[in-house]
Amino acid sequence: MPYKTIMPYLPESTSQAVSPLLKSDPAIEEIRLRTGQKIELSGPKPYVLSTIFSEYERAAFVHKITKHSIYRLEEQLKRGYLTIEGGHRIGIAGQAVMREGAVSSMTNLSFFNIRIAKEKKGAALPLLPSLFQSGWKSALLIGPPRSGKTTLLRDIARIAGTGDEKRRIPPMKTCIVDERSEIAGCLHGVPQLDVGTRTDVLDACPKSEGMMMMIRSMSPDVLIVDEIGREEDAQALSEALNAGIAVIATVHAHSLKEALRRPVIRHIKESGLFDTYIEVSREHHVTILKRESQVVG
Amino acid sequence: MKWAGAFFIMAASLFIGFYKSKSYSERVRQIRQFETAFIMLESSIAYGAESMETAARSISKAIEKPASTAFYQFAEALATCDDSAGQLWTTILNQQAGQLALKKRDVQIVEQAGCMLGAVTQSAEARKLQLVLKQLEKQREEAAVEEKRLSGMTRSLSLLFGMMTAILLL
Repeated sequence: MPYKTIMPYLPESTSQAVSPLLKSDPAIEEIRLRTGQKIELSGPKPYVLSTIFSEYERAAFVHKITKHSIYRLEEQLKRGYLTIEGGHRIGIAGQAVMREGAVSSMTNLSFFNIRIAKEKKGAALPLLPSLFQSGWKSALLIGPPRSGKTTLLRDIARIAGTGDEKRRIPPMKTCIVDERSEIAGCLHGVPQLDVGTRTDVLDACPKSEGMMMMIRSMSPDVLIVDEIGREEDAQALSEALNAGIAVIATVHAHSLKEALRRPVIRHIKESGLFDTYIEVSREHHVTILKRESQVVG
Repeated sequence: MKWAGAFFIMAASLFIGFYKSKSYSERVRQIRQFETAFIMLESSIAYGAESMETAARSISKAIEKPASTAFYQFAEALATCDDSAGQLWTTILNQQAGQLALKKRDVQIVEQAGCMLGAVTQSAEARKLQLVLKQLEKQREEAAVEEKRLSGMTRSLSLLFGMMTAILLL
């Protein structure tokens, strides 16, 4: 019951309204709370409840998620989300506070999107023949939001970090750079989700910097990183792959073709940095598009 | 019998005098307690980035009664109630006010510390607590002067009043 850790954060009336549905439909992915509006649950089947998320409940919810301590969450508010026990992520929208032209914080928090973190152990097993052949191969997972890329990535990290005796996969030194706390769902630096026994997690750190830090300090065999796309990411990826590290990353796109419209991804592909490209559809269908063994020079 | 009565009157009068005199020093002591508590709270917010509940709980362990009781109850309320930290602080302070030797103005200043508590940024929390600390320092200095001026006089007056009553009754 992954949603159980969310319940203490919800005001009583909201909790009473959503609890039966969460219990009966485990496929629900998000709880959306908008001040003055009906509560919405989304997933393959959407639900709009008759219960209104009132101003009183908004205030109570903010007190609960911030633990009456907004000052601790300035960084998270700037990023627009925070992670709670169980690895669930609460997206937040309200009034942005600007300082020197950049968002410095957020106030009047009024809209919330609770994304229920779900561990699907074994989700990555069908990919193993492409990802592991006497050693881990570098791969790029391509898929739109809510296609299950992060779930796959988490399971890959778990298998890489713990190993799989049955498939003769030894546990490897695995490092996760978890910029948005989505893969390991760290709370106070401790992963809330199973990401493997030999896995180190660098939480809430920018990807490019994080990858370099992990390469220098933790000597990983496998490096796991979510949602690459910036120029610096490509540079850090190149550094990792040239150091003989298998990198498994994800990128937001509906297909490899769409991903290649981004110059960074095109450059990464042209450099032959990844052995395998895997497309993941919103229906969670997986297609292994290309598998190449190239010497990265 | 008369002498026993006179002794009783003088003892009662002295007790009242000493009790009143103690309230002056108690006020200074309690203002100091809240000052220490708010300094700790400020550093918890600025450096430790602890939650308000954790900070209030550790403050309650570090300072003496009665301020420690207020912070302990505050931590308990934060853990269980949905109201804002400011509302909870005001409620607890109102409940505790009868047991404090503080004047109305002192309580108002201590209450001000709770205004928007936990609902603003680190720098805003620090600025507000600094302001409260400055006001409390002023109140403490005033209380110390009052203690120096009135404490001894209250004790002497109570002794004299007791003696005078006893003489009149004898």
